[in-house]
Amino acid sequence: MSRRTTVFHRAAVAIHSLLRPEFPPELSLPTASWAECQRLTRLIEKARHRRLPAAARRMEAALAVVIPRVMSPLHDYERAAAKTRNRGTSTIHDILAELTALDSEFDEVSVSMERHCITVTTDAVVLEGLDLGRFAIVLNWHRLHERGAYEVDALDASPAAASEDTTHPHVQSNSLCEGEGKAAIRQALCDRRLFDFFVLVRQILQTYNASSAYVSLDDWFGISCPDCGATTSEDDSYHCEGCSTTTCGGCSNRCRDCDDYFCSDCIRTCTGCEDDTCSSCRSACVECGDGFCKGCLTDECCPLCHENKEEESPTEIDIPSATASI
Amino acid sequence: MRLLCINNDGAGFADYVDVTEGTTVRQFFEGHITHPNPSNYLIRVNRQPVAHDQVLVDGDRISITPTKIEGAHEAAIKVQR
Repeated sequence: MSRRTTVFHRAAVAIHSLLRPEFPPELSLPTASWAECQRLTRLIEKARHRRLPAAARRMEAALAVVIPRVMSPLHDYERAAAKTRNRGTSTIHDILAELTALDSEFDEVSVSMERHCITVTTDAVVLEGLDLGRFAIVLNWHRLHERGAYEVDALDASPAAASEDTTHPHVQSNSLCEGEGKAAIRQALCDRRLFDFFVLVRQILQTYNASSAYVSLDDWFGISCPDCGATTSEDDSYHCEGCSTTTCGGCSNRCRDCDDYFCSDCIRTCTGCEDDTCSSCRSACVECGDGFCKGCLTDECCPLCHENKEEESPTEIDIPSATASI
Repeated sequence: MRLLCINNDGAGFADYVDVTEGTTVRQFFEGHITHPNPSNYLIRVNRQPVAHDQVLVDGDRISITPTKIEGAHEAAIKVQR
């Protein structure tokens, strides 16, 4: 036995020792319902024999209710038993075959007994012409049932400019967002199909889904500012609270009232003080209809209209007396 | 004869299936995949790559894995600030 096979064998033994035997759930035979079925059948036969059709029909209706109570637990048991049967039981030989097969599928496969890890290395992942380098898929066999059973490490890291934790459109902080592969990965780990697990993860890494990436490949080297078109990093970018776009620092404007940041489409200049205000903080003067920040409005009027209103107010007071004199 | 089929296109369940003697990998594949285009799948028999005309034998373990599996399909988390 070569040294490599010995290591694989030791790992297979270690993984096998963690297996919990799976049995179908205990079957509780529906004996009471079955006895009731027998009783009702006897009564039906007796009613037919005595030519009592109404009584026979009543018993038949009662039997129709009881039959499912016999069949349902048996069907449930059969389904659970079939599931366990199909899953089978992984032997040390099966697990060893899984590990050995990895050698022919991946260029680099290593086992760490100390860290309880199997590591395979992918070829360089190239998505739409962008070379993201090789990735190491590290599976901890002590955590097969846990959410963080494995990590995906970029070996030739070329992270997104916007986020250095994002080494692949679907990998952030060494964690793969499995998307469509989630169920198959869980099932492969559950069945100890290590070969399938590693192949599934590799295929996800080799696929790009632009519609739900942490960072799209278009923005890989930085976020393109929709206002000025310049490319900017995450540190220098701002999220518009109005329309959710990300702009560069130069195109982002702070609202003087709420202190949130907005793109040029979502910010306006106050007609009075000429400071930037967002649509939520900006109100129209009830007299002239122009937009103003909160600080420039008094009783819903801009400074000019308010002044005019105040000048006009004595006349308004005179109106009742004038009307009275008429 | 009986084979263990692992269809990783979806939930990834393993299931025993009965097939007739002399069934080739391609015939089996075409009978089990809705839109069978072999170039879109990795087909392994007993964990090894195989030719499409290879005849399957009793007890074989055949796995079918799509070459393209879209990550982060359900919960996309965009980089936001």
